[in-house]
This record gives sequence, structure tokens and C-alpha cells, in this order.
Amino acid sequence: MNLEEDLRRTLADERIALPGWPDPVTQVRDGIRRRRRRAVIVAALAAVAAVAIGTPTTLRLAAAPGGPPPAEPVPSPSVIPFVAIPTPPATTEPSSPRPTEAPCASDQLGPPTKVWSEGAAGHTFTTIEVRNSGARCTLAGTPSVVATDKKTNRRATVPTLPASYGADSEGREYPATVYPGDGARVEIVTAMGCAGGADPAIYIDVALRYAGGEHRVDTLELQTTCQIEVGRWYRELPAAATPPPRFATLLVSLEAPGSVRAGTNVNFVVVLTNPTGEPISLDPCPSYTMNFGKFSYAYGQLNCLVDQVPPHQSVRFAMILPISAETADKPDHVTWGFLNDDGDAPYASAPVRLE
Amino acid sequence: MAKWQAPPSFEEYVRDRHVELLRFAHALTGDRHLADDLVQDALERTGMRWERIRRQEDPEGYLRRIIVNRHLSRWRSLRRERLVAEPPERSYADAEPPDQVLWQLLGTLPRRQRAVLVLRFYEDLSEVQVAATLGCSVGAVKSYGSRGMARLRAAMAEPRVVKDGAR
Repeated sequence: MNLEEDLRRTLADERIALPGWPDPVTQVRDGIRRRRRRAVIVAALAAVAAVAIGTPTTLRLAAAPGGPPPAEPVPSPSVIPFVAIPTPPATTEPSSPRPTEAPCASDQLGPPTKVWSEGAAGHTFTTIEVRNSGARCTLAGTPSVVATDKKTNRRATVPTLPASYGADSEGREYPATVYPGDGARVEIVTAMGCAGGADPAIYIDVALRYAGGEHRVDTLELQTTCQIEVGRWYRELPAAATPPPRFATLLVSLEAPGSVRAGTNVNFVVVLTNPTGEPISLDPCPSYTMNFGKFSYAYGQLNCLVDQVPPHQSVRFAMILPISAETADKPDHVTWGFLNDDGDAPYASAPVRLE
Repeated sequence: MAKWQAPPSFEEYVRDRHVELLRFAHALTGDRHLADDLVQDALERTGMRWERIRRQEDPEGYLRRIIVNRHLSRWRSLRRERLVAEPPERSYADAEPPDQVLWQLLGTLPRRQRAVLVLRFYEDLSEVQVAATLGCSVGAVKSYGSRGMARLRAAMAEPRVVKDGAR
């Protein structure tokens, strides 16, 4: 049986299952009520602070569903007009491999050299990254390791094996063709599970020898009872960064009309308030979703005529949501929120009566 | 402020699916109590915007995303803010996975590598789906997955070391 099958079997085993909660609905409902109470308190405090520093007087908190209908919002000249911009498609990373360049010379790789280790079950995976300070060049193949054996004080090439793990790993490019400023990496694996628990060999003054020269990694000390494994030079492909929770601190409130008729549009204003002392960037421009009940909803991208929400200020966006003639679900509030959130992106609702 | 009432469809969803979500969170974290916290947190967040989530996307996918991302990024703060009215009275003592070595080794992986393996081999998601869940590129998913598998493979080759030295 291979490892993938073992993993599937282990993860699918019934003994991993946990007992259900005695009353899950009450447990979750109580938690939501606590969250809502906290959110209202925080929003109220922020609104008080915002008013105190001169944000538009038309800003008001989103009322809870079922609350009293709000007054008509006061028109403001500072509202950014609504433009129906479709949500942009998800981006994908480019993946064309770099063409091979001339071999890197030792005088162009260099400091700083980064070294870090991760351990798992007796194995130590040490990654060494050298940085290219010269022209484009390529590090190919597996470097040999030259080091001083601490027991004998002799300096020699250390016998190694090709790494048995991670070969041709996705997310890495082999060979490592590095442009100025780029890093090339190689991994060394040591382990303490061999030789019947004998004293480990200790290597110091480690250097990597490759086609273009030798690179010393003086800070590195290798301890092992197993034969050292060395991988091939590679370049870590840039991963698309996890979107930062940059909107998490924005406060959203809505200025909505008291009522709307089915088959028409509801025009409302989204107010994004930055309660922090730092600007919050709107570049790239965020996407949003809005809805009025089950049948009236839309997605889009903000009309980002401004590229940030300045510290302690608000930016106001006009919104137009077509209201479906189908209103069997009897909606009573409009909701607006950022799209693609991870659960932390803010949103707001405001009561709107269906005429 | 009116008391929040769970929509009937959300109540039904919580009743039907919370056990499976607990199991997923347990596979993801290896920690039963953390799994409890993550699922509670995710269901609360989902409940607050249930109608929107139910209409716009697969709620299970949305919940998985919250559970994974909260686990990877900020479960420490999550633990601080969780309020539990009454301590759980359940015992987990009987639950032991069959392949204890592999289960323990999963616990030695960095969280992101483990998340990729659980999403791939427990949830049977494609690499594209895993990337969408984690909010990273497919290349990064492949990298985390292959590194995680390599570590498991290397460690499985040394069962004696695992027994004595698993972290």
C-alpha cells in the first residue's frame, strides 16, 4: 500500500470522528448573539469617534433587521457614483520557465546567505539560499559538500547521496536561473536514525562546491548518523500571496431609503470608514456583493475613483441594486459586503421596507 | 436590538453537518478541542450571513475555507476570544486513529502542508480547489503537498525514530 492510500485510510477512519454537540443549534445561536452584541458596541464606538473628527453627518449605523425604518439619507456631493463594473476573474500565476543562463560564479553569490532548518521525526531539512548580486546566471545540478569533520579535524568532500525526497517538487524550478537579487536554494537532509544510535558525525566550516566555484556557509553545522542527502539547486516559484485581510478593519455602514417597490431599483450609499491611523488601500479595487432578499442580488467591483480610505475618514460609494419582481421571501433589509472574504471582511445591512 | 433567530435552513444545516465539520477540523488540526473551537467559530460566522452564503455558493466550501484559514492564520486569537458558557463534558479518550504512526507524523508537519494533505486526501479536493480554499496559487499547493509527502515518506522509512522521537 502506498503512502497516499495510507493517508486516505488514516484520515477516513471512523475513530477520527468526534462526538456531536448535545444541542448544536443553541450553541451556535448563542455564539452568534454574543458576536452581534459585540459588533454593535464596536460599531457604535467607532461611529462616535468618526463623528468627533468630522466625518459626514449623514453617516449612520446599519440598523438591525426588524428595527425602526430609517429616515431618508441626506444627499451628499461626496458620493462616488455607481458604475456597474463586473467582478474581475481570478488571476493565475504565470508559469513559463526561465531560460538557462551562464553558470553562476562564486563572486556573484553573496552574502547574505540564508540558512534555516525544519525538523520532522528525526530528520533535519536544512535549506541554504544564496542571493545573486551579479548578472543573470544559472545554478544547476547538485552541489558537493566540503566540510571539516570535527572529530578528525580533516577537511574533505563529504560523501553524500542525491536527495530522495522532494525531487522535481512542484513550486520549484530546476535548474535555478536567478536574476539580480533573486535567491537560489538547495536542501540538505541529515538524520539521526542510523548507525544504531552511535555518536553522530559533526561537520563544520561547510561549503557548497558547484560548477562556478565554492560558497562557504560558515554558520552551518551538520550533525548526522545517516549519510547526508543533498538536493539540486532550485528557484522557489513565487506563490500568489494569501490576500491580506486589508478590509477587515474597515467599518461598513449603509445609507438606504426607507422603502422600495418591487421591479424598481434601490439606490443606497455604502460608507467605508477607516477607524485606524493608517490609510487602507483600495488598490487592487475590491469586489462586493449586495442583496435584498433571496431574489435580488448583484456582484461587482467598486468604482475606485479613490485609491485609499484615508486615516479616520470615510469614502462613500453610490450603489444601485435592481429589485426583482419576485419578492415571495418578503425581504426587509438590504445587505452589502466585500466579496471573497475569509469570514472577516466587513459587511452591513440596513432596513428597507418593501412597498 | 432584536434577538437573532437562526433561519430554519441554517438550524437544519448545523444539526446535519456539524459532526462532519468536527471531523474535518480534527483531521486538519489533530486537536479535538481546537477542532471544536474552529467549527463553532466557523458556524457562527456562517450563520451571521447565512442567506447570502446559501444563495451565492456552496456553504460547505465556505465553511471549509473559514476553518482552514482561521486555523492557519489566527487560531491563537480565536482561542482567546472564544466564550464557552459551560465546559464540555465529553471524553475523547476512546478516539484513536488506526495508523498511529502516520497520525502522529501528520502532527509534525507544518500546518499549511498538513492542510494541503487533508484537503487533498480527506476531502478529495483537486489542487485547484485546494488553492481556492487556501487562497494561494496552484503552484504553492503542489509545493506544500510534495514537501509534506516527502517528509512523511522520509519519516516512515525510519519507524524506530518515529517511535522515539516524534514531536
